Amino acid sequence: MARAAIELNGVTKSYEVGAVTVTALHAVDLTIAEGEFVVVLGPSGSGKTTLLNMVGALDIPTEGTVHVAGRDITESSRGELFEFRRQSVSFIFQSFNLFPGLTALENVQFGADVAGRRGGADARDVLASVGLGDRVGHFPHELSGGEQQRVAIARALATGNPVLLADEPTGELDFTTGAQVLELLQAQSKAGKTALVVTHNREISRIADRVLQLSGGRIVSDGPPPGGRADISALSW
Amino acid sequence: MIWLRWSWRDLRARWVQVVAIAIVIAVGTGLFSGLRSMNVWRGLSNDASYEAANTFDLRVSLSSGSFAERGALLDALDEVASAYVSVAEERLVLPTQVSVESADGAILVPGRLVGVDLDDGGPHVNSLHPALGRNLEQDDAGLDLVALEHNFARFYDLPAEGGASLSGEIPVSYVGQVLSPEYFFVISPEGGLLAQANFAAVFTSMETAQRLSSMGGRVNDLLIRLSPGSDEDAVAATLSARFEGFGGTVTRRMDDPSIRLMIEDVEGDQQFNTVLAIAIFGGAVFAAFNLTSRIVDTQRREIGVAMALGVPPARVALRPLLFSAQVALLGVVFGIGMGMVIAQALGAYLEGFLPLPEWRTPFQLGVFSVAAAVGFFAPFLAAALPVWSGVRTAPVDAIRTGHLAARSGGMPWLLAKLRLPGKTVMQIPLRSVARAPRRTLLTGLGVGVIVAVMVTMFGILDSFVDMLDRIEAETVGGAPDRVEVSFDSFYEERSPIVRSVVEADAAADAETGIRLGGSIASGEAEFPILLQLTDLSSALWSPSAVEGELGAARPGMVISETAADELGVGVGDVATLRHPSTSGAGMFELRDTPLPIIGIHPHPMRTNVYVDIRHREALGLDGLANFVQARPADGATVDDLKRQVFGLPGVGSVQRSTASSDVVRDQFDQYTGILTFIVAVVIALALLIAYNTASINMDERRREYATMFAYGLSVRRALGMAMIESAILGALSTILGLGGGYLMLRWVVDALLPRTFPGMGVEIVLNPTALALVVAVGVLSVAAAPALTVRRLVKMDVPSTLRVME
Repeated sequence: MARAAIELNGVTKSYEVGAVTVTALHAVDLTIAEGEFVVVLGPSGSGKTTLLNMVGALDIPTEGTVHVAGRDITESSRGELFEFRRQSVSFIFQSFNLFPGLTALENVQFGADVAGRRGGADARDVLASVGLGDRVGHFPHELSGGEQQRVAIARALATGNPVLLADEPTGELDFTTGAQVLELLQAQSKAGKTALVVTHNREISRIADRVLQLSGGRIVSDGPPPGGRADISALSW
Repeated sequence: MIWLRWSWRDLRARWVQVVAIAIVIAVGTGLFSGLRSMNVWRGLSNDASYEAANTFDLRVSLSSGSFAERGALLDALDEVASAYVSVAEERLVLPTQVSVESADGAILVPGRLVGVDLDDGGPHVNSLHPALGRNLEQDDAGLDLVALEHNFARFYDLPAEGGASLSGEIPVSYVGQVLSPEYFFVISPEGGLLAQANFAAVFTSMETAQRLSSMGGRVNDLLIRLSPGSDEDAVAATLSARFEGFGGTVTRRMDDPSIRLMIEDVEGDQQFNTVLAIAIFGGAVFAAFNLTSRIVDTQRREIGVAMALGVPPARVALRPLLFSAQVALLGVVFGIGMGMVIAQALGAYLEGFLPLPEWRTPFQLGVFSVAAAVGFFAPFLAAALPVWSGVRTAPVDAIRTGHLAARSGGMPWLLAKLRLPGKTVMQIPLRSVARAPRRTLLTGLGVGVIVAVMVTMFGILDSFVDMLDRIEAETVGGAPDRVEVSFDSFYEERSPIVRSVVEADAAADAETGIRLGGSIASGEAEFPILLQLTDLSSALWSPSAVEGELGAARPGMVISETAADELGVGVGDVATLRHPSTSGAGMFELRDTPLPIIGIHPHPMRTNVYVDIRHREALGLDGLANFVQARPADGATVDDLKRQVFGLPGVGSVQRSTASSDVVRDQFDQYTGILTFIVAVVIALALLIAYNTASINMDERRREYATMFAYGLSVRRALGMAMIESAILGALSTILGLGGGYLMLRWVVDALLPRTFPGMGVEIVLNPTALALVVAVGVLSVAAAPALTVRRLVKMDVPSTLRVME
């Protein structure tokens, strides 16, 4: 069996909202193997994004431990968490969050520069690999939504980090474009990267290796997609 | 109500920025009203002081050597103009020498003994105002008691009362220091400005003055206050005719050089202060406008949403306008406080700088109101632009999220093709600057104006200090202890009076010379000069030459670079000297003598013109001398020399050669106080603007920073990028400011100063320390400003920020 890329043990996350304590995650135990393509489903407020933020070290659990890419990030210092994000995980956001002052190529190069990995892929090649080899000099506002998201994926890939974390990556895209994006993520998973995709779109979960269902901060189901794994061409929404 | 509550929440959410903007407006308003008020105060105070001193309207001065019996001038006045006269008094005004011991040694200067009528609390015209010690009283009449003119006494830090001696070593006691309208601004009889170091007026009773000068029962001066409504011109004409027989000259108040300069100086200062005030205030308003506009701009999407929901544009505009109103109101409230503090500081400075009997520094509500109104409306205008743009945006565009909302605009294309060195992380700051050219330009201009004011202020300080240094360097030459002894008249060079000075035990290397007023002309240009005939190859001291050769081979003159420029002449050209020349029997007449220019000296004042003493016969001054320059003999000090020489007959004054430049430096040192104050306020303004710019930048870029953090970029690096971006902005601002400041300085030096102080060869200088401070404020402080927002970066809720949709 492949090594664990992500491992959560008894992870609880609570917030104080005024006098009320809101628990976003309840003692979650989860292990995701290297190269797995995992989709996290759940309604709004179920804790999907909190889970993603825990894995990405953007947030720390109230209780429990989080291991990602072999590192216990719950015990890490602030500086170590920054270093962890540079070297271990890459984010893909629903609203892309590209740097508007940088061209497509420069946005991708940013990912490579931040990770500072020697011998990494050339940003131009990475951009070409997401089908945007002819859009290198375009600024984000000159690109369509799908193109912007592909640039965002290319930026994440350019880091060379082993874990991809995507928060509603198709949320702002039409079906065709969304499918292209999913295809890219799936390809990365096949290439050995671990992909954790958060979405409320149940259709997307059909192409995953594994689907986690969250409700009220708890994992209520964990397993392959119901009805078996489907090909992207079989999706529709 | 909901709009008011909403705008109030906007205010609370950004209270630090709002307060900072309000302070920017307040500082600008306060400094503007303070600077503009200074001229009003000076005008009011001049009027009040001249009125309080019951300053003469007309004056009848008898020619030198002419006197009248006491009462004769008043009788003559009664004969022709009694109906027009409110009050008139006779005086006895005579040249004298004044000797006082100060903590720094002996002070020996020429002066004027003014005998006044002390009856019934007099003098009633040109009354005396006690500044230190007590005023002269009726009981002092006939006693050897005098009052010293305050500006002279203040320059030498003399005590309120003490001893002094007048010509002929007559000891007197001074009971106080007084202000008199003829000496509010001290001008020597030769026309030297700021002459308090070199000239002392001494006031005493008429009886004492007559006794000390052996002029019993004589007067030579009549001061007249006219009745209200009198025709001054007509009365002056009548008096001219009446007093012709007395050898009297009638002058008006504004003919008095001191009074005229006091009035004109206010006008000159007014122009400078106005430009300065507008520049500083403009910078502050501009900054407030820019910052408010940027804050309101962040509500752009909410404006669109409101439009989409069908809210009428006028109501949509309500929230940002209410926000602006709160900023503006806060600015005005702070401005009142700031205006009063600044007014207090500037008023106190003025009172210390220029002693007057009456200082009027009322809060200038009119001036303040104008500034407050502009400061109040600037935030409204700032809000109006983004609101206007917002309500014109199609609601469908305004509410759109996602890729279609991605906006860039600006000029990133400028840099798109440019291959910049370094990693993309380091390129983001420069690209961010290019991405928002309007914001960059507005911020650059806001800080740039402040930098320009600093450049101007420092430039004025440094240029003046440079001029003083050049005066001092040229005056000192190789003889720092050089002493100049002026005689009270012309004497034969071989006369016992001159020889006694030249051969004094305490003097060495003594040389005779002639110094006299005149004018120089070439073509249409002509101006007054101080002509000095001296040994141009002297071993003790002679002017230096930056062009031409000094020597006595042929008659010629050495003029300053400033004079050469104004006359449009150079070495080898001929200019015409108009100067006194002997006409026999000890009489003098004005004569024109064309002389070639043999050299150019570096003294900055155009007035100094030198001719070799050996050519004095060419000027009709053969064998004469009226001053001696010498150094203390070995074993003697400057004070020894001064004491020994001052007691000799015919000696008018004995001074170290640098005395004139010392007084200018002293006055300037006092003036630097106000410039330093303004610079300090301006620096505070620059820092405030820098902080607010950085703070708003941070808000605008929060998603970009959150993305960077998500990719593992540390706070330190993100902050570094923010600082680099600010540094670029600061550098652009500083470049703009340096350019603007240079132009402003050029205007001050080339246009303003020549009108106020003609003939000063001020060259623009900005010393490296000042330049470094300007760059430090313009670049470094702006660059460092984001560090003040580091807490917000550290505390940033990255996940929430990343999920914000725009």
